[in-house]
Amino acid sequence: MKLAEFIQKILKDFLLIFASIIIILTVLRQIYYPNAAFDLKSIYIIMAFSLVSALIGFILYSPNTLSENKMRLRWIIHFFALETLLITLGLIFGLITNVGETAILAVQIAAIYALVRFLSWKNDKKEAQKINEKLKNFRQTTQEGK
Amino acid sequence: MRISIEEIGIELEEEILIRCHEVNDEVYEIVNKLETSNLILLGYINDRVHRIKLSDIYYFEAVDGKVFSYCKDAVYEVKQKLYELEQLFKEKNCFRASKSTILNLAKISSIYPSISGRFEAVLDNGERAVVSRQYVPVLKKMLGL
Repeated sequence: MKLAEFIQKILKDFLLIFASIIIILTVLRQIYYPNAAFDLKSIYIIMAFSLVSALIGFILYSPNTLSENKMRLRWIIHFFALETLLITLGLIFGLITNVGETAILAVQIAAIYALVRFLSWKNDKKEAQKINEKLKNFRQTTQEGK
Repeated sequence: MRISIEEIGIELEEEILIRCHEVNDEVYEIVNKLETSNLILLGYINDRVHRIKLSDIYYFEAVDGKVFSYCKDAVYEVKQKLYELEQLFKEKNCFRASKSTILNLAKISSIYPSISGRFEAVLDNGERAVVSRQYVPVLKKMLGL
């Protein structure tokens, strides 16, 4: 992927993350704290963290094709960067106050991260299956043509 | 479709003539296959020039500014740039799989997803090549998906 395309993707990710957080927060506030107001500072903090979350996507970017092992290493670094970022966000908002809560949040983030990666892999597997079926047909017709 | 073969004298040029009612997709496909199997590329090993059939090439790879074509038993340097090969062979079942490789579709035995979020192509010679996510739609389009 070209750098310009990657920056576009990062910007899109930032807007998506920011919008998702605001929508979820709005709905949860409506349900649990309908009288509480969003203060401007919180919005800026969420905005900044959304941007940093999107920016850590750069860990996965490379102008050259990386080997499988290097790519896996980058995913691991990406995971720990995201963990650190989200735990910091939790501490700033006072969502976590002690080691126990921090550990629970870390496990929750890890579980969600693993789930997202697994679902993405499952989806890719389905895609690969479709490609392989077509590939099989293609090879059959190619061999018949020889 | 009836297939006829006529032997001709050495003084005449060999040709393939397709007589059809209509030039449809099937005819184009046949023409494409014939052209692909006959396509010749010049490959170099230690200044010796070799004629390589496109149908014998597994993939092209750019390494340190040079482009190589990988066949079953040999690796040849080719003088074209990767983007030139991409343009030249995009109608001949070759597609860009990553920044540095072009794969011959006819030599891919299967595709599978890797844990790192990319796809890997297993070639007939057992080699594996990365297919970047951004080029998967190109592959799908070529296969009619």
